[in-house]
Amino acid sequence: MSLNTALDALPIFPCKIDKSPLTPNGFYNAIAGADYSHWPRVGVATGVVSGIDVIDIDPDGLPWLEANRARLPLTREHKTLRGVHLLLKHHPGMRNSNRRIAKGVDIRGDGGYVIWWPREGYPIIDRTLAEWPEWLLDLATIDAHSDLRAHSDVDLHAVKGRMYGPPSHGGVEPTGNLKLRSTYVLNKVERAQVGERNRLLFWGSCRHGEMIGEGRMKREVAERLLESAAKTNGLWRDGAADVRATIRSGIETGIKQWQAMIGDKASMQGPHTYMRPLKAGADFSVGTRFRAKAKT
Amino acid sequence: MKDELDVVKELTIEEMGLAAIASNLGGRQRELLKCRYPEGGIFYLVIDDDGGFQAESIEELKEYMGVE
Repeated sequence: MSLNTALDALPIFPCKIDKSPLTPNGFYNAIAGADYSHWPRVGVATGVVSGIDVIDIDPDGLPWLEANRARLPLTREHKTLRGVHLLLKHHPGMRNSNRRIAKGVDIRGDGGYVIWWPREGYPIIDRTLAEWPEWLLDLATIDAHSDLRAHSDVDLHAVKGRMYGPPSHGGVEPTGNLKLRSTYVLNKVERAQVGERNRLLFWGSCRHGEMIGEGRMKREVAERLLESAAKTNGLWRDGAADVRATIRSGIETGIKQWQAMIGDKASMQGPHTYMRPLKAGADFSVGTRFRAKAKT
Repeated sequence: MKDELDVVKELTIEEMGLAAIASNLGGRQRELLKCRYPEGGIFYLVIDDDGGFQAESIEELKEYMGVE
């Protein structure tokens, strides 16, 4: 597929030098076969409308590209202003995202557009568009994992390891990123299927109990979040009282686990430890952990 | 009919927060534009060096940005 043939067949629209669309409806004004000779920049709508997804790699993503070059399919490549565009055949449902795959690696699919840098004279490697490889598709489309990546630099496996990995300090470790951990746990509870909802609600309540025990989250906040997750997975409709009882039991279990861990660490390390044991029923307001740390 | 984007200058507090996040989303400098369709209705554009994405609602925008 030659460069001109490619661009002539694609839904394109004019963009300004600053890359913003020079149209009233954004990429909804994209059409195939338009005369782009006088446009400052040419935008190409990605996703189902063009049949093209683009992996947009900026300088931060170049190490990822080099590390994975051998696993990536041979496909069309465009040099860009600061990096590389890898063009792939559109995968149904592929949407836009940033950093799902790695830092500096964006996806342009449905709802996105790219600047067509070859038109500005940037070099290309002209190849037939390849399909998404399975391993990359997994990274690009797994919601829970990708959301976590998008929120933080925290390595997903480290987060998972914290919750599922080999026990240390009695199986409980301090929470790193509170929002990250809570969101991950709540996603699991929300997506629980019939037959596993109670078990996962209890598990999620235990994990939130640990966060409460740490002084990182208020109990009433955790209860509200967990009740909301139970409403999402349908368990609430089967019995709100049972849901509340499960949450209460799980939270108390989690708090006790955290207290036991702190007690173990205190006995191992002497009086100047990470945090003194907390009393059950105390007001675990956010910030307790930091006040406790300041004493050490 | 205008042939350019009709950019809405007034942003809600939530939109201002998202604009701030977008300015360095994923380590890239980006700009969030709130625009009005000629026929009415709002859409959002997040623009970076190499293109961007367009969202039809604030929920879709948040999904693309990976924020809650």
